[in-house]
Amino acid sequence: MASILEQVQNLSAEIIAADPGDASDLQNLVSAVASNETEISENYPRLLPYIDELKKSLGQLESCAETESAQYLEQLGAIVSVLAREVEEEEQSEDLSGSPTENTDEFEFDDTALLFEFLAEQDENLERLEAFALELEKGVDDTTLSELKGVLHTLKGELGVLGLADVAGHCHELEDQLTRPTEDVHSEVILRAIDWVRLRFKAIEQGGDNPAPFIWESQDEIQTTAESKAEVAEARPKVEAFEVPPCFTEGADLVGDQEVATEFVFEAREYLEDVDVQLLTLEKDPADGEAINTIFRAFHTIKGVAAFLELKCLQQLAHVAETMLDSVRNGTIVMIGEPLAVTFDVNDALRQHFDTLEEVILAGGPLQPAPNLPELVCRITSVIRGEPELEVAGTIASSGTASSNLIAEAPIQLDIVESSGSIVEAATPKVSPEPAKAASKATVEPSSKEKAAKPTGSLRETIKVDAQRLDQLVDMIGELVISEAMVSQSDELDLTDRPRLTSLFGHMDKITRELQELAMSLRMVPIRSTFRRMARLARDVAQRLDKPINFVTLGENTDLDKTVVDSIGDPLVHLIRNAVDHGIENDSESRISAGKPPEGRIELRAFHRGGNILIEIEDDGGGLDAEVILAKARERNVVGPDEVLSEDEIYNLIFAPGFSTASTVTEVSGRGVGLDVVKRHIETLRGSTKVTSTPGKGSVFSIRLPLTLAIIDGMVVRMGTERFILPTASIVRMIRPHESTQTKLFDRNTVLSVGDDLVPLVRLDRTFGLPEVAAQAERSSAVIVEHEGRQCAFMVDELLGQQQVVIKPLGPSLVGLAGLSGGAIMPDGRVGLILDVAGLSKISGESSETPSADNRSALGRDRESA
Amino acid sequence: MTQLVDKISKEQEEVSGKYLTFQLGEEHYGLPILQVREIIGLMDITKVPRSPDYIRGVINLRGRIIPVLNLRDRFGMTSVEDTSMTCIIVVDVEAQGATTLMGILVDSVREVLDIIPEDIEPAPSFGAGANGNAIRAMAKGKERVTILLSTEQVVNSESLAATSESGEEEKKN
Repeated sequence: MASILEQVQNLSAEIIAADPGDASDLQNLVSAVASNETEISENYPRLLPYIDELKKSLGQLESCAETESAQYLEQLGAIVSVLAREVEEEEQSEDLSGSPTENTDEFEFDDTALLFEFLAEQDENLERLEAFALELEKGVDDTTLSELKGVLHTLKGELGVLGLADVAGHCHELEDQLTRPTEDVHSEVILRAIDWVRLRFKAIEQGGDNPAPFIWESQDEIQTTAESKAEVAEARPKVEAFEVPPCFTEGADLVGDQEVATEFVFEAREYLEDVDVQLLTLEKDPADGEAINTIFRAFHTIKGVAAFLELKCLQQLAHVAETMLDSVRNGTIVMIGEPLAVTFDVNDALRQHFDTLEEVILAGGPLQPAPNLPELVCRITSVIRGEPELEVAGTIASSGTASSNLIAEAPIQLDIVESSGSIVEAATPKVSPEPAKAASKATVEPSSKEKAAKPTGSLRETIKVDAQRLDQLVDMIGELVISEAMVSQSDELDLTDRPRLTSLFGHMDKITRELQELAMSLRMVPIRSTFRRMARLARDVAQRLDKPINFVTLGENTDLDKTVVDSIGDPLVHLIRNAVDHGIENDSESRISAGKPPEGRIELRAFHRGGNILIEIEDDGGGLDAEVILAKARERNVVGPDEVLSEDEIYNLIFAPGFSTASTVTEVSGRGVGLDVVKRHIETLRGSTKVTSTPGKGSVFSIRLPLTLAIIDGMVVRMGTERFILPTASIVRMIRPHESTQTKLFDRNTVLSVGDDLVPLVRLDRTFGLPEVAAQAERSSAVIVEHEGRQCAFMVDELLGQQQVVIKPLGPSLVGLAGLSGGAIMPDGRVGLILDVAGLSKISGESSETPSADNRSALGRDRESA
Repeated sequence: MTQLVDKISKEQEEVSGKYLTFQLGEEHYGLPILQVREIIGLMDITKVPRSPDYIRGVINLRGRIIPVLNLRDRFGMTSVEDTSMTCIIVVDVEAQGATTLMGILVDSVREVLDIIPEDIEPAPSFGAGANGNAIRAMAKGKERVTILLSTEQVVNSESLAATSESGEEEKKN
């Protein structure tokens, strides 16, 4: 039997190798196919339609002109690869039902290194494909199409060489789709197809389960299937109560190793996050087999480890959830409505349970299950016991796929896990293909044996390093730089007449400097990946809202701190949704009448400016209406009735929490949450947000971010005997205040006149309760800082100069001290404190009201003892 | 009765082990050696405005900034001038699930003592006031009694807040 698979594979290899122009090659092929067909049809009657198709193509191949033969040859290749998959599947299912087969391996690579190298390059390729697909959406132009096809074709060829026949077939199918008349090219389908390839690659790379077979259908079909399934699901009856096992109500002590438990908690949280993501996918596409499998795996692993740790309650919950998901995989339950909601709730309950578990690990005591667990279990069981849907069952029957052997399989493997009580991974149940889909085009699932043998994780060309270790390295390099400076500039070192030593020191100085720069750059990555994600998002949103959008990105290669790149995604999502939903006009007529192209343009760009990164989102929509915003703000009492605001101030009102000018809440935005989130997010990244707008022309949202979170430009100032660092970004100007420019208020507060403005003057030494040193008036300066549009002057004893410093936390016991944002190691090796301007303006306001507190020292050392 | 004896000896067993001993004035204290990272001489300490009174400031420990706690102030004892013997004991502390470093400023460091279970007496239930919860146990030696401290309790800022208030009362008494 295995020989059939081999033959089919040989056949597919022959097709790839065949020269379309060479008639004898073709003739060989025809005979090869003919010799195989009888055997296949005898053994697998189910595959007959494929054979027929194969014969038909062969006939075409024989009769066609030489120029067209290449095309038919490709078609033939695709059919054979599908056939190979089917044969293999048949063999596997036979294998599972007990009949011995020798070879179920889908593919064997002679050179795994080659495969991984190939896979490592594919991210780029897939991104390119995606970019092309987005391009096509704007209008099908032949160059893009042919470029897209070119990439696809190369990919297909490489896949063929590597023996990844299923993916190659998939690419081929995609190519076919692209050769159709242009109006039929659905970018949605292309994007989905690309997503599928990505999942498949990931599965190969990580040895995980394969994505569910891809269904080629047009957009309309996608929608109709989803709808019909939704209708089916709603009709499902609710079922009787479930006997609650005692473990759901009783507390239990944590047995087992704490370390294992802790690890379990962290691991499980990751799984649960995954589950969330997958559930969201399922919400959109209830038939996404890969999503269901991921959830299944997560629950299964949790169950296994929970059993190992004797966490009965967790184990039970995961078990019932898993049972339900199994029915989902069999197709008896469709993941819409209640089943989906229950799974969401199970996920939440599990998460909650892990929080409790963590507390228990830390603090001890019995583990109390969440009170809603019994109810949840009842819900799940009622879903499971729910009458199998007739319509769904009908589809299964008509699709003619036998799935019974696969249904039987999962419970068996679960039993093994339960009895051995060990961690599961290796035994992850095999995926049963979605029955309804299997008939159309099925993918082969690699057997679990093969998965275990596959090398995993060797793919990344980058090394994952614990961020903490990286920080330590950077710390140590910083120290090295300081020690180097201290040695080479030491007074005890006399370098006169020692040219060799001098040059050695010079050399060392250079190395340490380079080391430091390198250390700083370790955390920098290009913003590209985030931008590409945004392009996809903009497209999806635009499509949902049915607005034609031209989305452009600029400056993808701008480098910035990894932390910033990771966390800038969320704010950008909000801003882009906003731009598409509110920024661009709702109908193209109003755009045309305003003299703009009917298609809205949104530009996302990133660039460096003065030590900062600027990210801007510009739309060419209607712009913000200052009057509407102001009216809304007055209505909500955000702005007093008599307050006069500048245009900028008015625009920035839209960042206020709960503020939305949208009269209707749409699916995408309008609840007034977005921009508030954006602003807070950006502020935690030490950045700022700004919006400018021209009515009728559009608006620009700018985000200004520091290059890195680790380094700030600081002005070192002295107050009394202490040094502090003020972030240069918040400094407006520095002046030597003349006596005549200071006006006293109530004997204790001072106002400084700067140009035309009056700025409150804060004596930092008083705010901080530093011992007052006789001020040397000729050196003291006022540093004027700005926070949230308000200025404030800090009086300092001396300006010591500007310096870049690495921000470091002061440790958990000193976190959250008002007025300080952290510390930095100064060039002399001591610690300098970094002032937090926002916090300072707050506390200085308080202390000027209670001046008597001034001289009470806040410094521990000067504490008077009883 | 036997149960009680058993329980105490189990506690004694737990507390016994190696301690780094140090002095505050004439009093001898010990910290579990496993939590001691290193001992460093007095160095420049940067004061931190508006921090709790018992925090002397922060230092640069090879590129990491760590707070230094003045143990005398922590226990509400009289302040003394720094001497050449003044040391900072750097300890590992668990705080909010992560291990952090903290410096503890003491008058002088003595030695590492191996304390056997038989020498261990429970912490006095009175007399130590609110500082009592920082005491793990007392160890009888030939010459003196060493007060064995719990690093977590000494460093834990929550219990500190409570201590400084009741500590005031204690002093009045």
